[in-house]
Amino acid sequence: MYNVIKSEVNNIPVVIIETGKFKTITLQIQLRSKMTRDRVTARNLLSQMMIKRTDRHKGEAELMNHLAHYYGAHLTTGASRKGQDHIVSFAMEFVNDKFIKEDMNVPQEMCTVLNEVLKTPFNYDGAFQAFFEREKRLYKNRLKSMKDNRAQASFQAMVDTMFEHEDYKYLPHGVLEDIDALTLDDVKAEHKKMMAEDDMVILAAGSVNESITEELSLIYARETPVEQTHQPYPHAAVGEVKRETDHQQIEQAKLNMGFRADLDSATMRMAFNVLNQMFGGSPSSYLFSNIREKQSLAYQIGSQIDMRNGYMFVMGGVDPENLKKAETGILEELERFRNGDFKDEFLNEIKGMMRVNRKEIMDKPKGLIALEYNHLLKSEGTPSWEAQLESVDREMIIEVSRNVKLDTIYVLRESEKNEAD
Amino acid sequence: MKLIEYKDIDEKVYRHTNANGLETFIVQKPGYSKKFATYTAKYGSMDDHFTVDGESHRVPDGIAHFLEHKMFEKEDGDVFNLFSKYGASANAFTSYDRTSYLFSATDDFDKNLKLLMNMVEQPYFTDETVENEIGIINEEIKMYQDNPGYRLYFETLNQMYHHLPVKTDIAGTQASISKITKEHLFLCHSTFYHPSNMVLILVGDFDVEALMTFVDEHQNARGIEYIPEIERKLPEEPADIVQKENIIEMDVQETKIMLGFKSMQESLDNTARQRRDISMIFALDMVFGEQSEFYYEMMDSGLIDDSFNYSHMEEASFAHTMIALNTQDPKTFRNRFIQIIDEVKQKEFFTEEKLSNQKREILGDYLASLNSPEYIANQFTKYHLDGYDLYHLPEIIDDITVDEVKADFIDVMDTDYMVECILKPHG
Repeated sequence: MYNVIKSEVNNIPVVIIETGKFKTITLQIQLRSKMTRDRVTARNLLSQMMIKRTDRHKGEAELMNHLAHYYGAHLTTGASRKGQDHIVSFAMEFVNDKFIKEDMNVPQEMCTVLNEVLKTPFNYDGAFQAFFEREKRLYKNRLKSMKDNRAQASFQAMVDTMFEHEDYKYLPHGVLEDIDALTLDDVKAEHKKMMAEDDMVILAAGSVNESITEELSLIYARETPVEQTHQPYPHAAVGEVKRETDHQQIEQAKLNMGFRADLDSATMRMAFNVLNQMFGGSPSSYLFSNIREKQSLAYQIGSQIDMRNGYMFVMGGVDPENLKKAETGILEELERFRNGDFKDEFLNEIKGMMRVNRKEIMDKPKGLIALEYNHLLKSEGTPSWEAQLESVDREMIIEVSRNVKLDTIYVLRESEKNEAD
Repeated sequence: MKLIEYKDIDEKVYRHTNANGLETFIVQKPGYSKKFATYTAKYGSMDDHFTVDGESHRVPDGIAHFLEHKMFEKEDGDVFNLFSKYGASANAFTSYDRTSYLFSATDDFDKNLKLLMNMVEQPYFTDETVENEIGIINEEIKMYQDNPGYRLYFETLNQMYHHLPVKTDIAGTQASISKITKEHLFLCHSTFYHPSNMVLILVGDFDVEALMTFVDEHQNARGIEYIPEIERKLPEEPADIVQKENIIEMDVQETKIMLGFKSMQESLDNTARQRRDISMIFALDMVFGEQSEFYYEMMDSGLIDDSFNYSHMEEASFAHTMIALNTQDPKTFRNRFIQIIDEVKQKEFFTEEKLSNQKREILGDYLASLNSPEYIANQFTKYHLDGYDLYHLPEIIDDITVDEVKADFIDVMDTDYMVECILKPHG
């Protein structure tokens, strides 16, 4: 269905994913290094600045108009977490030349723009100061406004409680309290470090073949290859369950629960993934069909995992009167897996659904890029995704569910003055 | 079955109308694993007052959404789980003018399509299941009420519209949905889920001939020949607004402001409406978009941040532009915003050069969207129900002129028809 060509350009690994089904070509640059509090906020601010002004296009309107001229090429940046690592990515998506009626070399121009994006911060000087201050303000506003999204805010509060003494509590989008103290020099220093020390990969997806390597070579050059290891966080044992409750003027309470599992192999991580889909990660899961549909204990309910690190999070929107019942109900549903109270048919159905989801990811340029990037991060000899999924059976689901331990319960509920007994 | 080929954008569509009135479109997407189906009734939250075969009916607010929820439930359980069993993921949504049921699957497409058609075509309602649903939807309404953006949006609509049901929450209110009975549901189902009021869109890599036959045989077997006459009754809506300014308080961190420009006008034909819709996108992007100097001027002076957004809706029964953002100083923003509108109206702001870049950009975005079968299925439906063709968009884009953009901007961004709503923290 698609063809993957791996090579190296200017000491940077390059992955070319060749498929004819898209109308666009997508380029992505991944920059990965260990996530630490003292870097994560600067990295986010930096990456936002990088996609807005370059040495050639000194104002945002100018850069945006340049991209618009090239048929609305999209330059975006994102930050995410994998294992212990923080990844900053830059993506450029543009229309395949075949649909353009005039003569222009879009891939070449877009690679040149990416080069300017990556290099400009070396030249940040006093002229960028006002721009820097403005970006700080925008970044602060973005993180602040996340607090008005109750679900997001209560998730963050749960993470703060659960990982009080661990780096995991710093979310990949950075730390609000750290923004004020950042200077333009900090951001410049972070950029220098990122370009010198981060593990960097360039990926391209769409109607492209080896010949695009010539354009890709314009993006960046390193004098020697740089490689960073990739590890999950070590497992931390669970002690007494931590509890935290906050109050706000809201009608619907938020119930969040955090769990940890000790996973020692890729196959067990896959079993954890399957368990999550059965427990709360899909519309046919136990939480959705029992807690929400049958018992009407929650309007929203679901679970998600950080597969590499072995964390599972349950998030629910619950009538305040039902908080206790919902909490007990959720734990009972998990207990059913520990007791083997599920049908093989259901397990197979979920595995089938996961295969479908994976195929669907391949229908998106960025999905294909994410899959191929994950391949690169796998250690040698790891069984294929399909082989891992195939091997997950009933016993493994029971084993992994017994390994999942409740760590934290966080509740956001209505103000105390109208709280029910 | 008719084949329509769009050579410039490399797309193929097959169209067929069944004897019972149902229209089916197959959009062929070679190389895609995912197959997508939407089955849509031209029936939404605005259709609360109607006449069918001469008899007039008024139904409680929120009933279209209620009906959508209830269609998944049958005598032998929840159809949702069956989709999962067959490897598909299903969903549904209701807007003010349509109700869509959809699923995506990579395998067993026919089996899932049969399930979807049967689910939507065969109602099952009892007093008990209706009662149970009221509880579930009440929770949904509460959740929306806790969402500051949602509250602000509906408050603003209520300041703009006197009577049009677009101002009512799609889910209805706790009071209105408690009045819903199974008789209401049967009535709305038989009226609006009639095949002549529905469209089926299938997107993916198919054996087109076999698939169309499969749909046709299923539809023929339903034995529906009679096509009812539906007349929707919309209240008369005056051009003027209800309330100029409004302030609401919620437990939020940040102050938000929303501006609405109401633009009632003589009803346009479908093509004129689509032109105006696109022309307004151009105008708003040129004046307030990320390519505009005004945008950065407001950004640099701290009046806006990247929560700033705008949209225009151009529908058969109403049209409006809305602007929203988080700001600590809503009044200063509002004043500068109005000044900008005046400046733009007075000088030669809209130029060929600006428009040409806009056209390239929107064309690029459009082509990128066609990577997504999901986008195609949803947008194809919307455009079709509105009487347009999604795949003719490039021609319309190409055709729009600077004068048109300017005229539409001046007409819509009229501060006499502007409302403002501020949502701020308590105290």
